[in-house]
Amino acid sequence: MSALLSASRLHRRFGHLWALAGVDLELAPGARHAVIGPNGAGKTTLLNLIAGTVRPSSGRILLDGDDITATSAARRSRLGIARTFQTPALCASLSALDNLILGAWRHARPTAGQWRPGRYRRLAVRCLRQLDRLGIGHLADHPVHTLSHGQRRLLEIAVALAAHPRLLLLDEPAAGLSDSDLPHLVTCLRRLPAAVTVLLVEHDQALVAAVAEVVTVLHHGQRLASGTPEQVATDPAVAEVYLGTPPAGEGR
Amino acid sequence: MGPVETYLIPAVNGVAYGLLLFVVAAGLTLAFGAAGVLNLAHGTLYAVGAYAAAVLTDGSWLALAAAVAAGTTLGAAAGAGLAVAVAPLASRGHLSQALLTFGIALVAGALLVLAFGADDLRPVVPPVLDQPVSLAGRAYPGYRMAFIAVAAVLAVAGWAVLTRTRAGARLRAMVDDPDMLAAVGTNPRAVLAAVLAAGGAAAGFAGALGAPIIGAGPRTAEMVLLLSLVIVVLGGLGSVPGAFVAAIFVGQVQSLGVVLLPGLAPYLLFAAMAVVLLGRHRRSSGVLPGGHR
Amino acid sequence: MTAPTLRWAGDDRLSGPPVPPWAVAAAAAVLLAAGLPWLVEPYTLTTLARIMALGLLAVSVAVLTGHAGMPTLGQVAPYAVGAYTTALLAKAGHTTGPVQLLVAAGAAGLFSVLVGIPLVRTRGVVFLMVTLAVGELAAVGADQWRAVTGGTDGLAGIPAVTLTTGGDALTVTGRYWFVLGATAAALALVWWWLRSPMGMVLRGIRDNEARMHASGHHVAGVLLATYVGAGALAGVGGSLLVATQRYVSPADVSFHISALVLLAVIVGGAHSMIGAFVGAALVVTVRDWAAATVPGHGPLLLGAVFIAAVYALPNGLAGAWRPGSGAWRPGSGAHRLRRAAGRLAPWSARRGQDR
Repeated sequence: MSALLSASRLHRRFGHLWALAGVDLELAPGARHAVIGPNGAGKTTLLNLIAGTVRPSSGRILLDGDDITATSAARRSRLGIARTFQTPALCASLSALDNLILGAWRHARPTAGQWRPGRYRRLAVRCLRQLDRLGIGHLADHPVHTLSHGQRRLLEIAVALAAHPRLLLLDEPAAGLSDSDLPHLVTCLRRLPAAVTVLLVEHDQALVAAVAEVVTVLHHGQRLASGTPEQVATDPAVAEVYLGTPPAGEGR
Repeated sequence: MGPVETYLIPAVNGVAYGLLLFVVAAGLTLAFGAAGVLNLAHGTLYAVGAYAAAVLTDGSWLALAAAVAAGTTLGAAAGAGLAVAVAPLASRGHLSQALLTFGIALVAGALLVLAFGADDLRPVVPPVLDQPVSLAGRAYPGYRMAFIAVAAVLAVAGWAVLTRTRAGARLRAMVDDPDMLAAVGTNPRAVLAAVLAAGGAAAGFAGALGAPIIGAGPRTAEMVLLLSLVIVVLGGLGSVPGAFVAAIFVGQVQSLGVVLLPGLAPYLLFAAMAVVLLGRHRRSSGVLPGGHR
Repeated sequence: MTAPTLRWAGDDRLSGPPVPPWAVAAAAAVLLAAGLPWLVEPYTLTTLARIMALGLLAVSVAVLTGHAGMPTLGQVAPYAVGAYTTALLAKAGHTTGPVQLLVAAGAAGLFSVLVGIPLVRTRGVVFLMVTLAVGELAAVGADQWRAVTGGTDGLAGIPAVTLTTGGDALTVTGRYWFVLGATAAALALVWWWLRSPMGMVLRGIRDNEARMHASGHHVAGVLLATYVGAGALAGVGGSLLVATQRYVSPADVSFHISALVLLAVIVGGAHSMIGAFVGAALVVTVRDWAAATVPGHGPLLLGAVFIAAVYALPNGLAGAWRPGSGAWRPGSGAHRLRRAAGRLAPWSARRGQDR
C-alpha cells in the first residue's frame, strides 16, 4: 500500500539554527505514528511543516502522491489534513458547538463552504451528536473560555475531526493535562476512526505506548531511530539521548 | 533657473527633509522594535522642539543653541513621561498603549495651540545660515546644507552607538529577539523609558534644528507623525537602516515629487506602502497558534 | 439560557425565543424617532441626522474593531470618499437620494478594495498604524486635490437631495426621514450579516486565526470582504452627512473625526452595534455642548476623555466582559489569548512566522 504522506529531506532553518536537518518520514494509511525526542529536537517544526503553517527551507512533502510543499495551510485542510495545537486553539468567545460547526463548515458535504439557508441548522444537529458521542454534549452552548483545559483539549480534537480528515496531526495533546484527564484522552485517541492516519508529537511516554504503533525519534533535527515502541525503547542510541547513559536492561 | 536647478534644489531640499525625518523616525522605529510600543505622540515631541526654536531663537547663535538644548531636554523628558503614562497599561497589551499615546498626542496638540496660537511660527536663524551656499558654481539654500551636514554627523554618530557600544548591541538584540529581554533579566520598564526618552530627545533635537524646514504649527505633529509612520512601514519595523533609506525616499517624494508630480504625493506614499506590505508578507508563511494580534 | 446562535426547535439545546425581545425594542425606537419631527425643532432634527451619519461611521469602526478584532483609525477615508462622491454627484445634477447612497457605497467599497488588499495582511498595532496613515493621507488628499475636492474650502452649495429622480427637494423633515430610513436599513443589514454564519466566521477569525486557517477557512478573503463592507458602510455615512449639511470640507474628515469615532466605539462598546451608535450620539452631543460652552477647547476635551477611556477600559479594547453572554461578548479568556499573541505581534508582523 502506498504511503498517505511522504516527506523527504525536510530542512528548516531559523536564522542560523537548523531546526530540521534532513528528515524523511512516511505515513502509511491508517497508521498511528508518534514522533518523540528531547526539547528542541524539531518535533513541532516537523508537524508545522506537514500542516503547512511553516514552509520548509528545502525538501518535499507529498500527500497521496500530490506535491503539497507549496500549498497553504487552509488549502491543506481542505485536502484532508487536520491538526491540533500545543495550546488548544479554539475560538474562546464562541460556544463549543459553534467551534465545532466552524471546524466542519468548509468540509461538510454537500455544498462545503457555501452558505445556504438551513445549512447552519443541519450542521448544528450533526455536531451536537458528535459532542454527545464524546461525552461533552452538555457543554454545547458553553462559551469555550468557561471550559477546563482537559475539556478544551477534547473539544479541539473534535473540531479537527469535524473536518473528516485523512490525516490528523496532534501536537502534544497530553500537555497540561491532569492525571484525571489523561485516561479520557487515551480513550478518545484509541477511538479515532481507523481510516484516519494519525501523527502524534508527544513527550508523554505513557500516551505514546498506549496509542502509537510506530515511533520515530528526532534529535537535533535529524531522525535518530524509528520502529515499534518496543524497538525504540530498547535502542541504545535513544536511551543515551534521553537518559545520558546506556540502558541497564530496563525496557519502556 | 535652468532645468538642472529646477530639480537640483528640490532634490537637495529633499535630502535635508529626508535626513530630518530619519532622525525622528529612527526613534519611533526603535521604540517599536525594542519595546513594542507604537508611540503615536512622537510627532508631538518634534513639535515641542519646533516651538522651542520658534520661541527662543532671535538670530543669535546662543539663542539657537539654547533652543536646541531646550528642545532636546523637553523631548527627553516628555519621552520619559510617556513611558510612565503607558506603564500601567503594559498588562493590557500594545494596542491599549498605542491608543493612550494617541490620546496624549491629542491633548498635547491642543495645549500647544492654546499656548502658541493657531498660526505657523517660524524660527529666526542666524543670518549667516540664511545665505545661499555656493558649491561647484551653483547656489544651494544655506540652512539646509548646514542641516544636512549636522544630520549626517548625527546619523553617523548614532550608527556608531548602535553598532559599537554595548548599549547599542543590547538594543539591537532586543529588536531582533524580544525573548532575550526576559532571558537577560532586563527590566522592561527601564528599557521602555530609556528608548522613549532617547527617541524623544532625538525628535526634540530634530524639531529645534529642523524648524526652518518643517515649522511649528497646529498641523506639525500630525504631519511629522504621518511621515514617520510611513517611513517605519516602508523601512521595516525596528530597522534603522531601513528607516534611513525610507526617509530619504519620503523626503524626495515630499520635495522633488511635489515639483515633478504635484498633488500626487499622498498617493505615491500610499502606493509605496502597499508595495512594501504586499511584498513583505508574501515571504511569510502562515500564522501563529492563538491568532497573532 | 441558551446562546443567541442556537435557534431552531427539534432539540431543546437548539431552541430559543422566536423573536428576540430587543428586536421589538429596536423597532419601537425607530418608530419613536420617526415621530420626532412633531416634537422638536428643525435644528435638532439636523443635529440628529448628523449624529446618525456619524453613527454609521462609528458602526463601521465597531465592526472592524470588535467583530474582526482589528481596531482602526482610518475609516474616515472611505467616509470621505462617500461624502465627496455624493457632493460631486449632487453638483453634477444627480440629486436622487437612493442613487447617491448606492454610488457612494460603491465608490467607498472600491476604494476599500484597493486599500484593503495590502492593508489586510497586517494585524494589531501594525494594522492600527497603517490605517492611521491611510486616514491621514485621505485627509491630506482632500486638502490638496483642489480641482476635485475644493481643497481646504471644501464643496459648498450642494443641491438638496430628492427622493426620486426629478422629484421635489426634501425639506428638513424630509431629509431627516431620509437619513433615518437609510440608517435603519443599513443597520438592519449589518445586524443581519453579523448574526449570520458569516459573522460567526469573522468572530472565529478574531478569536483564533490559526485555528480558522487550520480548519480550512479563507481568512484573508473574509477579512478583506469585511473591510470592504465596513468601507461601504462608512461611505453611506459620508453620503448621509452631505445630504444633511449640504457641505463638505476636509474638517469633516480630519484626524479629530477619527479620534472622535474611535472614542465613541470605545465608550459604547466595540462589540455592540447599538453601543457604537449610542456612543457616537453621546460623543457628538458632548462635543457640540463643549463647542458652545468652552469654545476652542474641543480638541483638549476630546483628548482628555480619550485618555480617561483608555485607562478605564477593564480589558483593553475587548470591552467589559459579561459572564454567560455567549457569542456576543468575548470573555477574558479570549482577550488573554489575544494579548499573549499580541506581545509577539510587532515582531511576527515584521519577520513572518519564524517562531
